[in-house]
Amino acid sequence: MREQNFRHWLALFPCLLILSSISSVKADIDWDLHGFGTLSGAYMDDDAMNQTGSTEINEFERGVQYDVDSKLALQGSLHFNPQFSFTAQAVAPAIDDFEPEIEWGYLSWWVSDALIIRTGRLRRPNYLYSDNLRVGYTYPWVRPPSEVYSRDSQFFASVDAINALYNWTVDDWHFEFETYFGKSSRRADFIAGQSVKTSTRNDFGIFLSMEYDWLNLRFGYQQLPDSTIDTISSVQPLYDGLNVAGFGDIVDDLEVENKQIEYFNFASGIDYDDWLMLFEYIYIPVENSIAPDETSWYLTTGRRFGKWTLHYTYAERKRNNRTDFSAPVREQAALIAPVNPAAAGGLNFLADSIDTTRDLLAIDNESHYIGLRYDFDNPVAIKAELQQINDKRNGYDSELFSVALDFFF
Amino acid sequence: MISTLRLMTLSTLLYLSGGLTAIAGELVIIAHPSIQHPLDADFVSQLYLGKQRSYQNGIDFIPLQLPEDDPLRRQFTEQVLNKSPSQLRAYWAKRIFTGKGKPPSSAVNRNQAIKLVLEDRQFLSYADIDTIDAKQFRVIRLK
Repeated sequence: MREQNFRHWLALFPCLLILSSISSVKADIDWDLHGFGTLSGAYMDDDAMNQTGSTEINEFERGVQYDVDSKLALQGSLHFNPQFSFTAQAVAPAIDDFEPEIEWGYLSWWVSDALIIRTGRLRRPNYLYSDNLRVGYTYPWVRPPSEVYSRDSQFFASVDAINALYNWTVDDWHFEFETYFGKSSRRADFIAGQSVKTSTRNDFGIFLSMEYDWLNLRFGYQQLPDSTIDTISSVQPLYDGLNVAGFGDIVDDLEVENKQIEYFNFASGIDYDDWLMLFEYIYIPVENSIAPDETSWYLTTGRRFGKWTLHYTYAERKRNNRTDFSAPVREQAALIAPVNPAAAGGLNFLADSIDTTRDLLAIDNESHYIGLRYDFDNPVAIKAELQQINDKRNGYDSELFSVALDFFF
Repeated sequence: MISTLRLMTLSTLLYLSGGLTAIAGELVIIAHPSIQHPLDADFVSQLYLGKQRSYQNGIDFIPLQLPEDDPLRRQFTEQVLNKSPSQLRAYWAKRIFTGKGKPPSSAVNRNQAIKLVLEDRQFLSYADIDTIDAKQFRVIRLK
């Protein structure tokens, strides 16, 4: 084993020699370095919603927190020639103790003015702001409405893919078509500090953006035909119980294992004089499993007053799963109840647990946001925002006040 | 009396809407005199936003910005790109960090921009018509 390692290092030598000779001959390899970051503080007046586990702002606890949105990021690009470049972006979120994650690492081939082909690790362009979600400077809010851009919608945030981007112009309309094919594997945050491993393969997406002076439209469709979200530890005992009781087929149904997930997205932006309006709608059907289908949207209106932007947003998030997974278990319980009431009781408990788990993942939330952004004369903006969240399912509401300073260079 | 007042309001409005234009003279696009293509404000805007670089049979243009603190740059951003300086910055932040392009480079000053445009037909920039010798350039007026 040791020797093998040594041989690997030895094999590196010729490569290093070749590389160094290339770079000394062509010492003019162009490179650039950019970065961005957010410093923020947030105050939530009630963390009751956290206890239900059904909120998308579950990182927030009652009180003041500085680490939820704060982050630093660096991006470096090497331009080998006008056609080829390599780019890597590392983001270090404060909430992960500034441990950097490579969110982008890809080779670009600028085939022509109109066509870019990229391959490597990319952020998935799920929605309008998904691929620049980390770059606070690019949007008016402290963070895009959590109803659409929730933490668990980030389960599949990045993808290892081949991606093509094609641009063209017809009269006053500018079009951008993007498509990718790839797979992903990552550990993502889930409720109450638990993280889960997710993986997908044979994913593809098609996205079309149309832009006309003050109007911007975006249509997106993605298919993740073979997605797996590992079962969280608190649900595993239920699955074990069902397996023991001979309901392995129900476990297969419930598990998000090799299931198909689709993403539909429509977004529209209007920027007319000093008025702005943003609308975004998402629909995520999931093949029969414990994971509910999701339908969410938001509408933002705002107005710029010089360097100030005042905006208001209304957002809704609904996740629902009406499948009756527990029926066969209840039928079985009814059947054996006269002979073995104790076993029937056990089965009914299992059936109840299925229903409870399914319903725990259901969400019916709405939020009102009011926010203000101020732009300095350099690439720095400060923002303040008040979000009033209403968890209609559980009858909780809560206010979240956030301030942020966003910059890039 | 009323008409004087009206006249004053009108001139104030004119002054305000004219803004920098009135102070800085006329903003024009400048290109190498040998450039034949029918350049217009829309094409120039697409070029500066990285959405287009050339015509099918044409050359690859390299758009040149003026430095951040040059008032002409602000006027160009608002008038031709139809964006405020911070909107343009947000636009480029999105493009840079999603790998879709990088902003045009800036000349050190107006003189360097002018010099580059005259020397190399790939370069394109903008200028205050009162401060250049218009005969030396292909000048594209914006109105």
